Amino acid sequence: MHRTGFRWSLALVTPLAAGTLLMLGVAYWLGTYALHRTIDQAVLEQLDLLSARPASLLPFMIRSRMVQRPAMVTDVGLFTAEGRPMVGDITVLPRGLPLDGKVRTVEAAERPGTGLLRERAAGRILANGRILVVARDTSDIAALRDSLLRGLAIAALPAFLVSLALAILIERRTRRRLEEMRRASERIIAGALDHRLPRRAGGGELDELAGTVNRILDRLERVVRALQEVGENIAHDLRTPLTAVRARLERAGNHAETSGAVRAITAQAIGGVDQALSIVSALLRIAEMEQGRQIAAFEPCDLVALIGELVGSYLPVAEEHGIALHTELTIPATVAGDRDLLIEALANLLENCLKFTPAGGHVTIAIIGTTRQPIVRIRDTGPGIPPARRPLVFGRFYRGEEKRGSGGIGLGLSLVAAVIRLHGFAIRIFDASPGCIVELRCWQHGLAEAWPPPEEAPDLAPSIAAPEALSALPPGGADPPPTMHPAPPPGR
Amino acid sequence: MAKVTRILVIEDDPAIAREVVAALQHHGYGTDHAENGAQGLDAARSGEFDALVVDCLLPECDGLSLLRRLRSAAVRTPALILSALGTTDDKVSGLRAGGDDYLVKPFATEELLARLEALLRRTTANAETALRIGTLHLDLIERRAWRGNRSLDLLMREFKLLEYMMRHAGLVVTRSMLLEDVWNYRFIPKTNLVDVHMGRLRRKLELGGEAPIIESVRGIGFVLHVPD
Ligand SMILES: Nc1ncnc2c1ncn2[C@@H]1O[C@H](COP(=O)(O)OP(=O)(O)OP(=O)(O)O)[C@@H](O)[C@H]1O
Ligand SMILES: [Mg+2]
Repeated sequence: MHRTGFRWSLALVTPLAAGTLLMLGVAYWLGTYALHRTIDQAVLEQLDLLSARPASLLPFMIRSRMVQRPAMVTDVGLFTAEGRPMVGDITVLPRGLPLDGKVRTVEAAERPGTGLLRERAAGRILANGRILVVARDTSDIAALRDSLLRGLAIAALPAFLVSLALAILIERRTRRRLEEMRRASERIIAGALDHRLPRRAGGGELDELAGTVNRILDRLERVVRALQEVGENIAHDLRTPLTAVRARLERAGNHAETSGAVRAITAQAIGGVDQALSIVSALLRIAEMEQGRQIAAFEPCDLVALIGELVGSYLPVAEEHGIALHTELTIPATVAGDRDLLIEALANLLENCLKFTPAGGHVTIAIIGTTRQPIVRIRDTGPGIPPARRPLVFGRFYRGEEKRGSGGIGLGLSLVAAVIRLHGFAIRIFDASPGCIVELRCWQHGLAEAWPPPEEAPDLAPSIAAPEALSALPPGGADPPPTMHPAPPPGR
Repeated sequence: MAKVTRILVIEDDPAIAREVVAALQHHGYGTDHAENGAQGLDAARSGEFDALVVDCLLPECDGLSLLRRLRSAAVRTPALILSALGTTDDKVSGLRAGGDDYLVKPFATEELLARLEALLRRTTANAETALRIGTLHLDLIERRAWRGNRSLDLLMREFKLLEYMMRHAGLVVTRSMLLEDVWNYRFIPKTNLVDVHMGRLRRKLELGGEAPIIESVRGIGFVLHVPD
């Protein structure tokens, strides 16, 4: 860990150093080669210019140049063929300067009033044998170059050091964050499912990554919690009938005197075992459906006929409960589905209405919406389901606190949710004030295949069957894309 | 002495096999037990049995392929399939393979017996236009029913129910048999759906002060008595 960090900052600093060096190099090159070229050009130009003048006019021109001295950047000197100075600001013929018209660097120490100077100079022998020398002092350029280099050095070094410090700092911070994240991950791996990766405000990519991982964890946690809860509920709900069975059998063993008494108690015990078994089978059926194994059995199902038939069966039951059962089946609707499962789901919803609606109440099953997108709407005049409980009722073993009626086990709506998912339908609960409206949004047969698959895969546990969607939207709204689309539409 | 009805139980689970065999013998059936598919197939081929009870999952040759081979060998002995899980798929494929009825484990012994009785009684495709049991008379074409001279005003479902009871006259019919065969439901309603309909049918049958003809069998189902 440490070593990687060190290597990392080294890697950051090396190009920085290289960059600084390169910059200095460029400055040096600018100060020497590039500037010298310009100077050399100026020198050559002057030399050419002056040597092209008529020889008789040359001394005069040089003199007049000297008058304009400040404007001129080059020095000129005219010498006799023997090397004696005739006119110009160069009074001594530079030593060792070949008179071939090429620019060279010469020492100009001999010039009066100045110390040791370096110049770029070029000389030429004119047609009349005289010698013309043009030179340009480079000391100011050298000075410029030196100050440039010095400036750069002064500026670059701190910049370099600051960058180095920053690199180390960032590296440390990153390392610390990674270390924090690693430690958090370790804790999560160790089982702290509610723990999350630490986040910092404005923390860039690492923070985004942590956010994503945290969202995955949120989802996982929900699923695991739901599974845990289901497991605990199963244990609890099985224990209740089994405890009773145990007590009864114990009673039979200890106290029953006649075979008739034993038989009565065994019958009761069998009832208890049957209840436990029915819980197990219901759970297995839901689980099986959630694995989506039965899609192959899908066929066109005429909802109108199916509901009419179902209501016909339940009409006498409703009458016994003192409840009026109505239908409004005016919209023709055929959906793709598993007939048996659809009947079972609708029967479950209907049975809930009959169970929770007091005598004298009404239950209405209607098909609303359109033939393309039919909605089965079941409405009762019972106590209703308060919004806060709507997301919960689809969970396994969820029962209302009041426990009215002949205590169900709370798996009815879980099964409904599983059937809905399997079909790619949607279910929502609304207020009928008073009472409850359950809406089942379906797809016309043949349409579901063409519908785009949902972006989100379904959650594992039905207790989290898109609860947000269950309370949104007014009843019967005609918005085509459903908000809860919990399963991929039935496959081919 | 009447010939003993013989049942072949093909089941690998010894505990379940023991219970099934015991229950059958208790009710006067002759039984044979095969522990695996191969044995079962051999025994069933002999054609000595009146009915088969076949477990779905068997070692060597599973229940469904066993049935398929039997049927293709033209052995028509009625067969009741036992399965561990009541998925619709299993049921459909079970019946398609040549099973005549299907029962999900765990099951009540009475359920098994009732279904077996019904299987043994099953007659081949009946094109009758009327059913007659005692003074009960059904016109299957016109969908009308009489008890004696009194015409019964039955709803569609009640008519079907009565027809089923008459076809199984003298046999115990369980609620799940009725749900499956009369209602075509593949689930057990939480309400007393069957009892409510049966109650209404019985009331209509006895409206003229006649003696009860359909009776409840406690904890199991119903039976329509054949008058002697
Ligand atoms: N129509 C309704 N009116 C009022 N409350 C309802 C209605 N339907 C369901 N509920 C509430 O939702 C809970 C869960 O329903 P669900 O069908 O899953 O279980 P149950 O009916 O109690 O038992 P089960 O269906 O397994 O026999 C019920 O206990 C009840 O509190
Ligand atoms: Mg319910």
